[in-house]
Amino acid sequence: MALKSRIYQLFLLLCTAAVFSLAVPAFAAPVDGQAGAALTGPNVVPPAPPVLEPPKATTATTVAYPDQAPKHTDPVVVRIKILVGSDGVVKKVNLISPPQPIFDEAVVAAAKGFHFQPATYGGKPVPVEISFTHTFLPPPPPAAPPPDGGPPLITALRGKLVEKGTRAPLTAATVTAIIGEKKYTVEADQRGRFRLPLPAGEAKIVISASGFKAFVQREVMVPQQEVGVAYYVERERYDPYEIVVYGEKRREELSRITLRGAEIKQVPGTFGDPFRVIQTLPGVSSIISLLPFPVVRGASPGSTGYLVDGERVPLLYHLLAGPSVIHPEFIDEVQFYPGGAPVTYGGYTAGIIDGKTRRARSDEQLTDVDANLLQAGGLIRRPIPAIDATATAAARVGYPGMILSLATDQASLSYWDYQFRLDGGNPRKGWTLFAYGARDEVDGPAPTSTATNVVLQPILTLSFHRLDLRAYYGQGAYDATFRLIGGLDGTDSGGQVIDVKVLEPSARVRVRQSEKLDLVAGLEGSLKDYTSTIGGNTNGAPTGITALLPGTAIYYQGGALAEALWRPGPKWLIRPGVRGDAYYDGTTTLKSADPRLAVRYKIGSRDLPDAPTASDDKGIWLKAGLGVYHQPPRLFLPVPGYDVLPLRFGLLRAIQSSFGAEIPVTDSVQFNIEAFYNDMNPVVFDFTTNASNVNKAAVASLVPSGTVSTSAQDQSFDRLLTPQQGRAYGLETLLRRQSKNGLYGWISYTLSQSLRLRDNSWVPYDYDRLHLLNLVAGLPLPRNWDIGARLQYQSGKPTTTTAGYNTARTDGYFRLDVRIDKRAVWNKWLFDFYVDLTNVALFPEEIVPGATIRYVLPTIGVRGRL
Amino acid sequence: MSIAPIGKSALRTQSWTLAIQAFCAAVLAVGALLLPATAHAAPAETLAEAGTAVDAPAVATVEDDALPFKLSLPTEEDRVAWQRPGFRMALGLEYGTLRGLDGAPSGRIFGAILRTGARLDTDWSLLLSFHYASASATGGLAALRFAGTLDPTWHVNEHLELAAGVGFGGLVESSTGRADPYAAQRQTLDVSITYPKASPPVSTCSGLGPAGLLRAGWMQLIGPLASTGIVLEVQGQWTGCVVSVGRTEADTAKALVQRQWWPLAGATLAWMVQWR
Repeated sequence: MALKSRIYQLFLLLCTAAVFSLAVPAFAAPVDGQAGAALTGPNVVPPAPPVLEPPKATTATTVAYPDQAPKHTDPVVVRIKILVGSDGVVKKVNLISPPQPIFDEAVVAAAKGFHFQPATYGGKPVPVEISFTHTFLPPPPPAAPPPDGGPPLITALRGKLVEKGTRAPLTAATVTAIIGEKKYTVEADQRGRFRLPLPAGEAKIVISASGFKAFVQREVMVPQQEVGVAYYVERERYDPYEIVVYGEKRREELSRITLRGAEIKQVPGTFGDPFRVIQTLPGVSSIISLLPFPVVRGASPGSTGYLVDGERVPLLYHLLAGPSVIHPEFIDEVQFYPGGAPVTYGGYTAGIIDGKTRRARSDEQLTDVDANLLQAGGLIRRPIPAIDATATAAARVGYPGMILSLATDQASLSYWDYQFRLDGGNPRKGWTLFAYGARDEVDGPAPTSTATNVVLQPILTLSFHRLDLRAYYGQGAYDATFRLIGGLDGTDSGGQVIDVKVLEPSARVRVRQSEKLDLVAGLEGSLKDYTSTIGGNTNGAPTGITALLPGTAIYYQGGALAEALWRPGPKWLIRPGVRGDAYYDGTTTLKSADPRLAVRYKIGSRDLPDAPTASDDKGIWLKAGLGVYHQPPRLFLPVPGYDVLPLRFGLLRAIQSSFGAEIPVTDSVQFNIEAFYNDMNPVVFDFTTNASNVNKAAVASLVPSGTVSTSAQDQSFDRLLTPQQGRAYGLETLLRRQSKNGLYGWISYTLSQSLRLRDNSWVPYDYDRLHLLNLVAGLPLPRNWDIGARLQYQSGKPTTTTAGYNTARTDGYFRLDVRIDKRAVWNKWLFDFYVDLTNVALFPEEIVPGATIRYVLPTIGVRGRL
Repeated sequence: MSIAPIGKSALRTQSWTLAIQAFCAAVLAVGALLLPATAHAAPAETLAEAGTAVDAPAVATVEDDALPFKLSLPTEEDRVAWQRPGFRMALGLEYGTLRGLDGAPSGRIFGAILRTGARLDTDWSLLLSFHYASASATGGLAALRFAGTLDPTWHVNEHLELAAGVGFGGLVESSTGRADPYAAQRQTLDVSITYPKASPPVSTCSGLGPAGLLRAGWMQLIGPLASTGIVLEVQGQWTGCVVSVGRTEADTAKALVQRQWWPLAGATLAWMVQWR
């Protein structure tokens, strides 16, 4: 009961706090895009994360000033996109700046002659698209040829060219000195250094380099003296997501949506939190718009997996609804499966949300500090040559209680988290150590408090720690990964404590038998040693959910999986797989077998010049899947210690099926459509709150406190514990544009229904929403601006009327969010700030019939990066 | 699950939050963008190492890291830069009054403004303004006042700008302390009702409606990337207030509400910082 009330208190506090800012900083990290499907899964070994090495120019990337250029007094900037093939040859050049004839042609013609050392992804050459900008400076007045060949070069300008803000050497740049009417030029070397012998006099220095703003300086050159200087040249745009990998993608997944870069860190209304973006995707609805726990394809939030590199995170969001517990800099991409997840993911009957971290490069250095109204944090990354590894350490401290204290002195909130990571070796023969954890605290009035002297004490603390050791080994056609995870989870509710010790070993092997066949096999294990001071009451009628918990228990889980990725021809992918799991908690043994099948068939190809020849991106694909999914009983919200509930409640099972198509519209626009039908039987711990009939009040708590009754099946607590039958079906569409330099975003629409069998008739699930619409758009602008907007509409939730249980609906709601990011460039570092307005128009949201909230969350965040 | 509508304390806190954020914005205004725009250029270091060969100066002995750094000299006038088309964003603090007409309550306004949009050419901009402010007075409003308008803006000269905007505006009130003239009716309502006049006003008002503004601003450039100035705005809004009576229609679960339209007009003075 205590925990129930604590969680309820926390929820109410969060709803209050939601009126204020919820903020995490925008982290715009360089992204190594990833291509192709990964060998990943929950509770199992993730793949060795591949590393992208960008292409390097092997020839000069200068552009000659066109002879026929029209006169101009301002610099002329030409921007293009270059598709660099896996052989390093320029495959295609696209103009992206407004037309400027002659200048455009000069740049395009020059770019076609560039040659690169190809980009590599996981050590293999891949085609990539890069942006290239060239600035034509106005030509100086023609200098009359000196009768004697010019004055003697009796001095010199020497120095280096540095990128302002990042201090990276500026290469492929031209230094021009104009003295009198005569020009002297020199090219900077690969380290940005130059030396230019000059005559004495006042010199106008002009530096021109592709992608950089015009640079002008004046120097006084004194005879017999050399001037040494470092010029800090500013880029046209400091884009944190420099390179987009187009791939040679081999599409292996049925329904996966992968988001990366700005898509996960700059979407309005998400506070820069990668995991919150999932709520804008097809098939995802909300309990309440601000709560980040999704209802995926009509399933209770507890059936969806919240993972980092395939490992379940016991507490994904601070204080259940705040920022995520992992520093966003670690998250490279987020993979979302609304359904049809492969056998590498076990233990969930609904969707999978998997945040993928990336290996730090061996030479990578970064210092990053951030602050906003709710939290402050820092991250530092440095190579450690002695152990051939790169270390990354990060920590954040949250102080939302400071803001909350403006509204009430009866409660306070605080949290912290940490991450430490070592990446050693290389992606195919390497290792990773990743330690992370978090602690949240909710304070309430102590018993000694009085109305005039409020003393706060902890009433709820949630904490967890994880140590994740991974080793990768790849040779030839074999890739193996081994993983060992240890952890501690804890929940302390006013002295009532739950502690869980976790140990999870796993191993996985992938073998490429031939071009047509890949085989994957894996073993997984889990041991959770559970102790509680609040459980053990298994006799008599429970009085709350905590009374259902054991005093002590050890949960064992073992699993094995195998699957094949078979391509009998270029148009087919057939992916059968099966996983088996066994669970034991000292009293109950449960077993499950999950066969799954995914099939893709290419019915045609689109003529997309930017896509590599053999890329699956060109194909128009039909896809279908059918699979069985089991999971152990767990609480509907991720709370440390409640990850596994007693097995006597039985396993949840779902049979997921889907059929859809993927259609490339253009090189950068993709349309996906998918119909699904999920049979959920049984459903246990289904998150329900609606009143059973109009004579009964709605359940006013996240954790129902009713008693188990043998007759009154309309009690919500009964519904929580009693196995039910459910089904969900619908149609999901996603029109998505991916772009590095231009407009990106998506329109997702879902028409669906989720039902539960109740008194022999199918009725809508408490959080069923018929229509889900999201419009997300982001646009990079000159001078390091980024703007974005998001519009969301969700139908109302079912509600009970005199006609019966869930026979009407609350009003649907709209939400409009906007976000503006600005990157300011200092001499030796970068300074970011953003403004994020969630629900700018304060559109109302009817939580329950007759109770409507209006809110706006204005947020400002800042970050320094060097 | 029970979630109360936004309460008075929450509104007060929102106002504080807005004020704090606006203050931070002001700090950012100076710290984030002004300084980069005015970053100093260090004098070039002249090496005294003499060379003997006329056409071959001596090799420098100074390490690269010790070299003095220099930034580019301005390549165009600030005034010209600001007249270029491009994105603009401004943050500001506003203070003023909002008068209820036809019997609607009034209040003082203190809050924040976010203005964003594009400079189209030397004469025109198209901006989007968001206002969030507390509107409060004893016996009057106790509200979060918000508005969003699309403002075509005419730049009369380098400093003066005039704008007119239309969009939405609204109020969110909870416990105001005002008398509830419809309390008795509230207990007996079995259908939703709309009152034809704004007087007497309902005890709390939460709702949205059309809004408009007229604006005159005087901006001073403080660099190629930032400017600041004073803005006078005249605002009007027609707010559709909705008050839930706390019950629902049993057959449809639709909330029973009282509705009333409030006309309001006001004027504010704002300090803005703008970036390009």
